[in-house]
Parts: sequence; structure tokens; C-alpha cells
Amino acid sequence: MTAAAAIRCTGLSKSYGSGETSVLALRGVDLEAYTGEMLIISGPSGCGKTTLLSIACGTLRPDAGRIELFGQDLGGLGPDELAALRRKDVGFIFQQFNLVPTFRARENVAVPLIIAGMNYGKALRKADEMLATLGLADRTRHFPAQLSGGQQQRVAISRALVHQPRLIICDEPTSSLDAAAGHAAMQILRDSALAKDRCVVVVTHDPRVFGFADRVVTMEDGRITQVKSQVASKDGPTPEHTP
Amino acid sequence: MIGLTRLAFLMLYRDRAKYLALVGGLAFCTFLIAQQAGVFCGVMLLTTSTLRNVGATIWVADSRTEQINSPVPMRDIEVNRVRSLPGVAWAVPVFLGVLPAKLPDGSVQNLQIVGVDAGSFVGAPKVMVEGDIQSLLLPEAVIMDQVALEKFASRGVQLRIGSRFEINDQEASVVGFCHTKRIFSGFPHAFTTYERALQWVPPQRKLLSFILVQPKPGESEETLVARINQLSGLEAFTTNGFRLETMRWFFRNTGIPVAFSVVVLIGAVFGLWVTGQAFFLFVHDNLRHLASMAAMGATQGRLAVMVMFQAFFAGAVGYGIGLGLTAGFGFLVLPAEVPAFYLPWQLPVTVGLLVAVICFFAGGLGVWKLRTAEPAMVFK
Ligand SMILES: Nc1ncnc2c1ncn2[C@@H]1O[C@H](COP(=O)(O)OP(=O)(O)O)[C@@H](O)[C@H]1O
Ligand SMILES: [Mg+2]
Repeated sequence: MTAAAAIRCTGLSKSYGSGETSVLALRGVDLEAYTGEMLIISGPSGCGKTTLLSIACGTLRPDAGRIELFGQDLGGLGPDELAALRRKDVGFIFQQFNLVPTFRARENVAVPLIIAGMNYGKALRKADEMLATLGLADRTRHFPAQLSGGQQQRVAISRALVHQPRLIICDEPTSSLDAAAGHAAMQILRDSALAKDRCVVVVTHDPRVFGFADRVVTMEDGRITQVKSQVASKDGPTPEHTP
Repeated sequence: MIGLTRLAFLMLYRDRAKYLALVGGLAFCTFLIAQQAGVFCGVMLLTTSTLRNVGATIWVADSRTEQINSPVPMRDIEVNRVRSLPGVAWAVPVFLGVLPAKLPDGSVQNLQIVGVDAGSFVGAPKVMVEGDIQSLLLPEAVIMDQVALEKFASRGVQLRIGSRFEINDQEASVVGFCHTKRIFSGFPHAFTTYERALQWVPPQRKLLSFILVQPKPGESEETLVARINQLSGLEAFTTNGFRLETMRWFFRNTGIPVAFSVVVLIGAVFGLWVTGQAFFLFVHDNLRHLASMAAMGATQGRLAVMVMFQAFFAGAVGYGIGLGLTAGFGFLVLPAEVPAFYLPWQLPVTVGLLVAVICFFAGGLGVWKLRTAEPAMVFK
């Protein structure tokens, strides 16, 4: 199988602030992620994981380096062109789920479709279908506050998948969940999000879920220090294997 | 875009506390401004009611007369001089003055006396409720208005045709009732003939208040006004000119406009302040979600439209409620005619524009805040 590169980053560097308070968050990062794989980016807090993820999906511009998303160079694109690209190709799962509290589950899930210009009613129907796929058929009209953490995470995953993007970006998807719910969420990502023509990139510093990934990239102080390929366990790591 | 607008609506509408604060602030501001401005317009209308109660095409006054409610008297002979000017179809005298009426219980009620030309009845009541204008030719005859009925009744005197009382110590006999527009002083009207009115007033050399003039057919009002001014040494006004002159006088010589302007200004500043703040807070609290949408591919332009829509939606609802309250206030006070209230169409339009400006600023503030909603911030 010759998997296509979903993300190809070369020589990325990024610093925040200027002068004495300037922080060098990325110092020359090369990274590739392929369709059909689940890639985990790990490393201690503050090592630059989120920065790398933000740049890789076109929400943040690097100071130097080059990013290609599905073969397209992001360097020459303006903000609206980047937005159009994300709208079509990227699904997001945020750390705190980032569900709008005043939207029902189905309305939250429909957001990417509505942003893409789909008719409102049709978008809601699609959202209902997506929620049903993830076992939330009876929760479509609930507000986020009426759902458990795990259910909220499933709504967030539904929102990331509903418009069939080719790249799914997850920043610390399990950090606000307990171990069991976190494991379940990764399982859903592995089962429902991952597909032949889709790449899933997960940032996490939780070693208990590393087993779900096809490759684990380890970062330290703005650099990639290790890339480990492995045979991903179909049901994730068994509890005995977790360190 | 319609879908995003619906999401913007839900985001605002379901955020009950902030939505109510926004709408409430705008409704209050609209009501405060429209109601106060309405009362102001009503008061201004009162100051020129006599123009409508008497009714004439051209008013000629002594050149020192500044406004309709305080004429500087002229000599009777001026009527003939004006009558003889080219372009004048007819000219008649009218007496306007305030005289005390003595009631049976000994109390005194000031009356606005209108003495009209007995030959033509120009200036006579426009709306007769009982009796007819011709009866003014009867001895001691007066026609009283609805305000007189009300004021006399409050002192236990039920006026009816045939009722008698004293005006400035001279007998008057009621021959009819009319309906008038209330005047600024609040005094009731008593219509009588010009000659009889002069008998009631203490004798003076000059008693003529105004000369009412009708231009000849084909003669323009403005030309005739200019000609009378030039040839008579008196001052002539068209009805509209006199109205503006009178209102200008009230603007220059009374604190009324300033008092109302202060309230209107407070309303506008309050509206801007509360709305701006509430809306800024609303956008601030939703910044994370707006930024999520930006990450998911909504352009800054579309997000800006969403935020502007939210501001203007709250504005429209608040304005509607405020104007509804104002109309309710109007219907409440109009039958009694106190306080004076008048809502010309320009007023709601102006207040609407003001609310639109407020919403524009509030929305602009929100859009300015939105600028900080970097898509990358959602990962924080
Ligand atoms: N917006 C920012 N302004 C200033 N410094 C930042 C900003 N975002 C991240 N940083 C800094 O950059 C470094 C990398 O941050 P981040 O990519 O968030 O790391 P991680 O996700 O691995 O915890 C950290 O030192 C962090 O403090
Ligand atoms: Mg992070």
C-alpha cells in the first residue's frame, strides 16, 4: 500500500513573542503524516505539540518552513483560502470539546456543514445521522451541559467527522476524560475516524493510549526526538501493557 | 450564510441573561427617547395650537410681535390699511387675550378669549359640538370649548347652553360648545365677536391682536407676505412661517428644549453604554466558540456578519418593544391630552436610526473583539 502524504512539513520553526520574552516553540521540525494512519504526537507539556498541530492544519503560520496539505503548499494561501481548505479537509477535536453550550448536540454537530454552506435543515438531518452512528441517537436534542463528558466527546467527534474531512486533528482528546472514557474515545477515533483515505493526528501526553497509534512521534523542546512505528492494537493497549 | 445567521440567532437568543440585558437596554433607551421626544413635540404643538384653532392663510402682526401667544396690540385702523393692499382678497381683525371669568362659587378661571369678525366669522371654532356659530350674534354670546366644560365641572359648575357667568365683570351667556386643540397655557377657550371682546377688555388705545388675511386667487402667499411687510410696516407670516417663528421663540426663550434634550441625550448615552458593554461581553464570552468556527473554516468576514446580525437583531427587537411601549403611553395619555404627546413619523424613524447607530457601534466593538479570535486560540 502506498499511502499518500496528508501532511508534509519541512523545517518548521515558530517563536512566540519578541525580545527577551520570546519563546522558541518549534526549532526545525520535519514531519509527515499519511492517509490511513493514526499518528500520535507526544511529549512533555510545553514542548511544542499544539504549535506543531496548529501549523500543520493551517490555523497558524510558521516563521519558517514549508507545509503541504494533501499536496497543496499552504505558504501562498491567504486567510480565506486557508479557511476554505480547513472547511473542506479538516475535522477538529479540541481539548475541552469546545461545544457551544447554547447549541443542542445536533446543532453543534451541524456547524461544519453549515459553515460549508449546506442548507440548515439538511445539515441537522446529517448531524442526527452522524450522532446515531456514534450511539447518540437519543441525545441529539440535548444541550452539552445535559451530557456526560464521554457523550460530549462523542458529540465533538461527530462534529469532526460529519463533513467527511480527509484529516482529523485532535489536541489532547482524552485529557478531560477519565481513563475509561478516554480509552473509549480513542477506540471510537480508531474505529470511526480512521479510514483508508483519511489521516488522524492525535496530540497527547497520555502514554496509556499510545497503543492505538500506527506511529508515535515524540517531541522535546521544539524538536522531534523519536519516531516509532508499531503495529497498532485493534482494541488499543491492554491495561497490563500500560506503563 | 442563512444557516450561519440562524446559528448566530440561537447563540444570542438562548443566552437568555445577555439577550434580555441587550434587548431591555435598547427597549428602555428607545422608550425614553421616543416618549420624551413625543412629549416635547406635543408641547411644541401646544405652543402653536392657536394657529390651528383660529386658522388663517396669512397672519399680520405688529412688527414687535415675536410669537403667536403674545401679540403686541395694534390699532384697529391697521385692518383697513392691510385690506387696501394689492393682492389682498380680504382682511379681518381678531382679538386674542386672556381674561378672568368669575364662577358662581367666587373662584376665578382665566379664559383664552378669541374675538372674531362678526361679519365673516373668520377665526370662529372649527369643530362645533353643540349650537352654531351664528348664535355668536346674540347678546352676550360666547361659545366655550371642551376644556372649559372640564374646568368648570371640576369646580362644580355644569356648563350648558344658557349658562351665565361673568367675564371681567361683564355678563356672558353660553350659546354653544366647540372642540379646540389645547393650548400651551392650558386655559379654556371662549369664542365671541371681536366687538364684544373689546367691550370686555379694559379700554386701551390698541387692542387688535392680529389681522387675518386671505390672498386674492392666484396671489402667492409668500409674495403677499413680502408685500405686506414692505408696504405696511407690520409683520406678516404664513401659517407655517408663524409656526416656525413661534417654536424658535420657545427654543430661544424657554428651558423646555434643553430639558428634553438632556433626557434624550441621557437615553442615547445610556443606550450606547449599556448595549455596547453587554454586547462586548456577549462576544467576549463566545469568543472561544467563534474562534472554533474560524478554525473549522468560517472566514473572518462571515463571523463579522454573524456578530453584526446579532447586534442588529437585538436592536430591532429592543426598538420594537420600546416603540410599542411608547405607543402604549401615547394611547394612555392621548384621550386626556395631558401630558401633551405627539409622535410625528420622523420621530420613530430618527430613533430607529439612532438605535441602528448604537447597534452598529456595539456590533463594531464585537467585530473588533472578534479580531482577537485567532483560529489557533482554540487549541489553548
Ligand atoms: N500564544 C503564545 N504566546 C506565547 N507563548 C506561547 C504561545 N503558545 C505557546 N507558547 C509557548 O510555546 C511553547 C510551546 O507551546 P505548545 O505548543 O502549546 O506546547 P504543548 O502543546 O506541547 O504543551 C511553550 O513554551 C508555550 O509556553
Ligand atoms: Mg498543548
